[in-house]
Amino acid sequence: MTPRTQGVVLAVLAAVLLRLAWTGEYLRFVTPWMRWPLLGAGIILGFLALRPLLRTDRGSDHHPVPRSAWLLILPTLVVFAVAPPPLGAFLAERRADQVGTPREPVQIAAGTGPLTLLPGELQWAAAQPDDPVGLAGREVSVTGFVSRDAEAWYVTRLEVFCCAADAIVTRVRVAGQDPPPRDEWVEVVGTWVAGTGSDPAAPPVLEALRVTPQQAPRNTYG
Amino acid sequence: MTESQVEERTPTFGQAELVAVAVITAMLVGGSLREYADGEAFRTWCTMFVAVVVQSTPFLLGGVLLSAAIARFLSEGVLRRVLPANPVLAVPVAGVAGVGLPGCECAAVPIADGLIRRGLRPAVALTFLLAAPAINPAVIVSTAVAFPGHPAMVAARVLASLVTAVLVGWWCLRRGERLRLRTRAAPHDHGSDFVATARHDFLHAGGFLVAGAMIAAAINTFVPRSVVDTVAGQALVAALTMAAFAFLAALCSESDAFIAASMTAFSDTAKLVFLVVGPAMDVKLAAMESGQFGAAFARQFVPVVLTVAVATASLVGWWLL
Repeated sequence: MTPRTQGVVLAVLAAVLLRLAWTGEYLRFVTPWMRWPLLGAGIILGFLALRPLLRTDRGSDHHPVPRSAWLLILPTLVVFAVAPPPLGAFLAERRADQVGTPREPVQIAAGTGPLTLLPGELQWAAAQPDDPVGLAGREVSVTGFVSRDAEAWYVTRLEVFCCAADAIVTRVRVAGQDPPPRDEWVEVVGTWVAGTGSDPAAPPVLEALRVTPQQAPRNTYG
Repeated sequence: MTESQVEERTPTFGQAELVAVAVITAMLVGGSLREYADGEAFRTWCTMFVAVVVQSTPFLLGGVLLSAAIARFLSEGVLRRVLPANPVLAVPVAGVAGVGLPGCECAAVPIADGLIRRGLRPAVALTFLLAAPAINPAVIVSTAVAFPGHPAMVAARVLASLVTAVLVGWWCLRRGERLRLRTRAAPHDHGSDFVATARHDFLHAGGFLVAGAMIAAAINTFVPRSVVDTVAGQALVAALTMAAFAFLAALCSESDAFIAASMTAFSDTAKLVFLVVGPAMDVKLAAMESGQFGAAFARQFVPVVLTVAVATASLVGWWLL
């Protein structure tokens, strides 16, 4: 790899990282706090690319790099040519038998008004022994994408801790409404079927009153 | 087309232009390949592959810069004062020092290389390489969060990882020259060489990182975890399966505790094996280490680390969990 090629490879990688961080596309791959590390890495890589790019001679240098460095172009080609979408139903269905560490909801208003919960929060609430948030008989709104299995459909989210490779599925089974297309984002409003979801291996069931299509959120993981 | 041919002919249209054209073509194609790409599995692989690279690149770059800084600014005198002169004692000290590097394993490989180039004994630097990603504060906190009300898991993870790092360090010490560890020449000491060293190290390690990310993404996409779950019953098979899964999935050490916690079918000891093997050795690290220290070294080092990690984690798990 000639020095000028090294410069191009680094500059292209820098540009991709900056673009992902700038446009918010990075949220398909990693968690929100990675934005600043990505911007920083993009700027530093751009700086590293400067000197070899500005070289005028085409000779080899005394710092040869192995052929494997060519692989650094591959992520860029994939980002541009395939534009990978956020993970969705395909992965959720493959990993459906995994049960994440239940996450306690950030805030739940006690009382009788309608509740808005993430699928994972509803899973947590349904698994508690004495229904501490008062799910029973209350209207609950859950938003996520549609995933399916042989028997039922689910309103689903993927929870990501570090990068998309470690996504864990959280989901709520929906009863009483026809399934929308897979991967469509929907808001499901319904009531929790008391007793379901107490065993972590089986998701809670929501008896749906209505299902409304939604725009996918900016950050689909959560 | 080899590099030498290109250079001999000194064409007006060289390698650099070729790369630029390839990237611009990809931009013009602009996501339309997504329609032709063979369905959901391939797209999921693409997302995972880019995710691992995007997540790791800032850490790798940080490690490369720190390594270049060590090579340039850290004097051998300082290292000698901090570490015991007796290498048998220096190994555990380096292991405990791993607490101080809150980064992931991608950063640790170039840092270990920088320390070796600075004159540190390879065994001591490799102990640091094994310990740092496993026992740093970020990993301890995330493990505690993933296993609420189960502090024994955190203690067992720290203990087993530290013991693994020290045992492998002592093994390296015994092997001595027979390790066949390849280090590159120390950088020259003129002007802008800090930048040149960092650039070179990044290009060197980056390709191996991408190769590891490709394999890890394929495992995460194409091997259903239910296959893994069917063997969860038997203790020995479960431990080996979790070790193999940790090696192939190549997760960040800060997130692997959440994955381990989600494998409800497995015993706590099998989960511990997963948590101890992952940060010490995985397919991404093995690729980076064979790039950095040579294939002959990696062929000895990788199996030894895996064996020691599985054995230590099993014993500690049997004792503490």
